[in-house]
Amino acid sequence: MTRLFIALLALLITAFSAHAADPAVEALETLRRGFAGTSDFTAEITQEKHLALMKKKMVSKGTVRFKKPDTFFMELYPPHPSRLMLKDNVMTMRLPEQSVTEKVVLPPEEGLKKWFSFLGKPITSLPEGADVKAERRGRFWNLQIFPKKQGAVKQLALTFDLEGKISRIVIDERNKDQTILSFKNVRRNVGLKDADFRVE
Amino acid sequence: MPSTSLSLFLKSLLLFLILSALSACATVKKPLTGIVAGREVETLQSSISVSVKSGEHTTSGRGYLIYKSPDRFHLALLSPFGLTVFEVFIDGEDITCLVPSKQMAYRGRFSQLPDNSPLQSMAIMKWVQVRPAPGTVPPGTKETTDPSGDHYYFDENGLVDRKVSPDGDKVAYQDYSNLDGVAFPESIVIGSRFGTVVKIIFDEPQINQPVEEAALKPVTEGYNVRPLTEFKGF
Repeated sequence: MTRLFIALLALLITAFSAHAADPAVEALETLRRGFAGTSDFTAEITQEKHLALMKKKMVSKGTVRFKKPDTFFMELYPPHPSRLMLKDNVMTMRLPEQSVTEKVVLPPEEGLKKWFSFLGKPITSLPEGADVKAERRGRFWNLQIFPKKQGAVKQLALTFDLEGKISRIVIDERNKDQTILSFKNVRRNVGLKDADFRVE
Repeated sequence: MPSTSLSLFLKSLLLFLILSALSACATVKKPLTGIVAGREVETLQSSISVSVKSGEHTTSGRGYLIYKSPDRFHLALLSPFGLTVFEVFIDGEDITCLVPSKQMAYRGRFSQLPDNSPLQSMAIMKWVQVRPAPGTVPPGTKETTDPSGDHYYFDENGLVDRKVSPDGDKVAYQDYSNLDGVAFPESIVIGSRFGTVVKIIFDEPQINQPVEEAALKPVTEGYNVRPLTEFKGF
């Protein structure tokens, strides 16, 4: 969940010392620069959950927003409506159809502010916690991340352009489920306000 | 989204919540047509939305449910980004809980749980499944109590609207629709004797469609499998 988002940031941050010629390093640095040069962004999102054990897939559409230094927002529309906001390490989640709002305080080390504060440093090496592969095709990078630590995620695959704009994230889980997050109409530095990050 | 702070007890309630859905022989508040007498839910596959309220704490999330009569099911809860964060498989008396992020599995039988285990509350599953046999309730019946002391309330169509146990557990079925000849609720609300209220909303449920065996059998390869009694949450 939020750990996924944080893990992506961690990958950017923990990579500090390798060959600039390594395409994986170049790809990570492209991604980092994209975040570093962004004060806020908004995008439309489509989330597809492919269940290994069911024929149907769960599809949700919505929007995501981010604003520095530490605020992330995601709203999914029906049939699985939800609104989530992560303000540093405080996550607020609302399920409108359940009329339920809950707040969860994450460990401080999982706060967004801490991770984004690292984005000023260029990436020069690959992270130790994962195998990373990258391939550039024209204007797009395909980055594959294989966490070394046993966990739910077997592989992350990101597609983004030369400006670090992510268009697609594919998460393969060890239970053979797959989640595809597709982003459209990504707009950066649009001057988002606090009012754009309301869960209620 | 289920949080790490969700208590074991609340999670267990999710399980019998699911079973209550399966006992959806229940009731309809509006007239339904095309209900086939004697047809019941043999299998169920559905996306679900769940909320659990206990005291001041509320937890909610979405996921999916797979059920096969009489007593096997697979429940998965998902994070907001779609990742599977918790799975439960029940096969009669056997229960297996999976926590994918930790690659931990907890397996055992209900009978192995100590009396004070919160998982004991899942014994209510059996209660939830019990319901009046079709045709055994005379037309026009509003209420009835079975020999075990469970009290049933019926709607104007003669279907179970809610059920209350002598211990105070309650199950209510809401907004029925006709699914392949079966009256099936769009949502269910359970109020436990312990004060917890659980609500589940079904999204595009599919009933009586083939369910693959693999969908009901936990795969623990690569998992650290521990006794069920060690399960402390996810």
